[in-house]
Amino acid sequence: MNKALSNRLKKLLFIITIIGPGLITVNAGNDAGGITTYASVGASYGYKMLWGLLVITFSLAVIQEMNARMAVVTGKGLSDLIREKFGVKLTFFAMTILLIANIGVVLGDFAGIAASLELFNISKYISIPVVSIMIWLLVTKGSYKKVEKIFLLFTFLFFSYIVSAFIIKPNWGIVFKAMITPTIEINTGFLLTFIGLIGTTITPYMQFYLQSSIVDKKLSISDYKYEKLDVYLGAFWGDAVSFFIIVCTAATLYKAGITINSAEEAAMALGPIAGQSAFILFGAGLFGASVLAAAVIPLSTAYAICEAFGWESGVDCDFKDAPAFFGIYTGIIVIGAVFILIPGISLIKLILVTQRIAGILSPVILTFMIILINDKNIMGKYVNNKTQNIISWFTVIFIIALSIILFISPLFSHF
Amino acid sequence: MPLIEGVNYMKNVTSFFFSKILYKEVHNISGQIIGKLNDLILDFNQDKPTVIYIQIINGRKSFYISAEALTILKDKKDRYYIEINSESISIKQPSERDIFLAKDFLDKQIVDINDKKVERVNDVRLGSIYGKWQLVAVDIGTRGLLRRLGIEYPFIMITGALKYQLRNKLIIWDNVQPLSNGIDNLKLHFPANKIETLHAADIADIIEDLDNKNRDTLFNSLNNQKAAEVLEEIETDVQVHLLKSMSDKKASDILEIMPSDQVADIFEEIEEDRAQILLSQMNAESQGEIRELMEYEKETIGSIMSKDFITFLPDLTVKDALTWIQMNISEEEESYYVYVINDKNNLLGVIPLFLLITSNNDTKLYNIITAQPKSIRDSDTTEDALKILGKYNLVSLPVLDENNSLIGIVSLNDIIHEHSLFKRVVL
Repeated sequence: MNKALSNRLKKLLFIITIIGPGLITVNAGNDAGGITTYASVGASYGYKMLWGLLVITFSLAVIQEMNARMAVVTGKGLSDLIREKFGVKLTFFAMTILLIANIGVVLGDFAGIAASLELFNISKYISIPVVSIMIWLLVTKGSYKKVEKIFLLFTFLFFSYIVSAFIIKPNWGIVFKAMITPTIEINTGFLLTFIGLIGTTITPYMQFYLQSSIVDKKLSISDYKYEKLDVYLGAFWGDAVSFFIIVCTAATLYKAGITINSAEEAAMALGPIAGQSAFILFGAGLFGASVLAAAVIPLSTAYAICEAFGWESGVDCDFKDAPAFFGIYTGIIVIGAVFILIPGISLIKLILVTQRIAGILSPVILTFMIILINDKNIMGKYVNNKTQNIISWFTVIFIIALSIILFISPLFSHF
Repeated sequence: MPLIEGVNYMKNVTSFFFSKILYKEVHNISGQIIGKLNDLILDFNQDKPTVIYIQIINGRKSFYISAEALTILKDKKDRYYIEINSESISIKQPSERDIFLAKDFLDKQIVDINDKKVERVNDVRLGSIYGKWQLVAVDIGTRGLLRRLGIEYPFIMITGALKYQLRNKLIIWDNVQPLSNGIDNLKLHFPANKIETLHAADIADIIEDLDNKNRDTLFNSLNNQKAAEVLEEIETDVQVHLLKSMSDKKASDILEIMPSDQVADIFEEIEEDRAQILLSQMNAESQGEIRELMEYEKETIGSIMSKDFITFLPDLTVKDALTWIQMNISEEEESYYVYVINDKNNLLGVIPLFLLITSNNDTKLYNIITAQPKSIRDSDTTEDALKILGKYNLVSLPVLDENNSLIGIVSLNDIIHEHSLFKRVVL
């Protein structure tokens, strides 16, 4: 009797250990790029892009489920699979795309670190060198895991957007109507912002990071149902926070005609909950999320690239044993940090631009993924079903179409 | 012999990198292009894998030509020319069981038996041996990657200018253990004989590095004795994973060979129903021991102690004891003491093996025992054991239950294993 109970308890604990990490991953995914992009979406275009967020939430759920399925069925990381199926040349191409997109995102996160600390009157010329050396040391000296949770706690401050949204009391009827009414404006500003919205939600690095963290969990196919729940919950919960950020900024900044050019302005949407100290809430949240991402993304990039080319990797190795691994990791941080130190650069603009680059590049990695997951030699009976294929291909084509319209629309704007 | 751009004569090649001919044009004897070389089919059951067919693709058509007709030439500028020098071309139908070099081997993982590491195949060196093309070595170096990208020579010039020589990193075939990467294990079966020469702990490390599929295939290819030794060394979550994908019969056969304390640990981790099924298929003695060990709480001595130890009654002679040991104890046994007990199983004393060997044959055992030896309770913790072992410089301790019966021994080794496992969880 007692044994049956303890068994059930064991099972429950087991499910929690599976589900937890996915939720945390998505929460951490709302980094500087995410927060700033969502805030600027709401501030510049009100509720107009909420339908887009709804659509890509489904895309995100389907894509992350694909990563989870590949991880559990093959037990291999995404770059392993790309290398084994596509050979050296295409792998090189995929890794170059990943590297560019990730350098962009890291740049955005270092900009987030600088912007958040500027709210507390700390100059970027002090904050960036200090924080980037701190991150480098924490990760390479192996104590990162211990402090990770602290930065993660910071990101929970963004939940105040949810409270804020209810205090503001927007017209929910209009909000929900906007969610189901697709609107699109054919002008560069709208398209760029929309691509940024996609880019920050379906970031290329997330696919690699998620897949390898699920591989590390060493799940069997029989536990897959819990993992599926994990990624679906993660996708919807993560985007729920994004939804409230857009609602908050739309109901305050958009109404007042303020577009976001600085972190102070972005913080104003938290005014209803925190009043004058809104900037502390926003600054601390932005700082935590940025540090988290600035540590994780260079690391995950270095792992992915080394895995693809069969180079030695791991933070436990010496620089001598794994020069490529430490080279890539250090290189990305240095590039990110140095770029931010350029005098007079607009931090918010930099964050937004990097998310757009990630958005434009995301179809490349997605295409590799869709081809892989439909390969019966790799996935056996666990290949995509029709619905999954339609949604994932639709996502790819949709982003490509947006990018094409973006590049040709200036040509027609005179008519 | 064909010519390229006039005067540049070409000569036959007897050894080359696969990437130099992959996806290149194939010519017939009169110099016409008949398609592109898409892949090679190899026979992996030979001493060295031997190329048996060439797959050529022309537009959408694909056909297979016997490898005996393949001639490779190259000019002074290292440009390769592929020729099929046969009038009568034998054509083959592709089979499910064919192993392709590019599709199934290149870019996949192998085990380097020499360095005991999992590596990725960047390129393959083929050589002509007694008129047959054979796989002689696997390239795992960065230079192989650059060659695949077609930028090997520019890089060599750059690194050469920096006084650094970019070398190939080749592993000769004798030291390569190929791995099955396909989803269907029957489809791609590489013989796993090379890996068995390694130490169980090394095989365990390699298996931990692999993905699920390769892990299962490689593990299943080991014989039961080796499999048991390897399983003992593998970290817990991988152990559980391997057992899940094994048949009950195979699993219980392997577990029966392992020490009962290890098996009890594994059973704590897997689902109870499966543990019961596996347990019921093992012999009665192991069953009893394992059930007993599983009763103990984690981190107590009882849960990690070993049930393999040697006991004698006190009035036997040294000769009796030695004869019995010679007859009954296998070479793998790890023991430093024999234990002397009375008929109620109470521990009277211990005799170091060394003392036993050097003592007079007719001496009775009770004359040479160390009475009241240091011992430990089954309910004590590993910390307690560590303290005693450290204080008295011992390598193992007898374990007693509440009735002072000798029920097991615990060695320094068992405790180190338990401790390193525990540490790994905390990190």
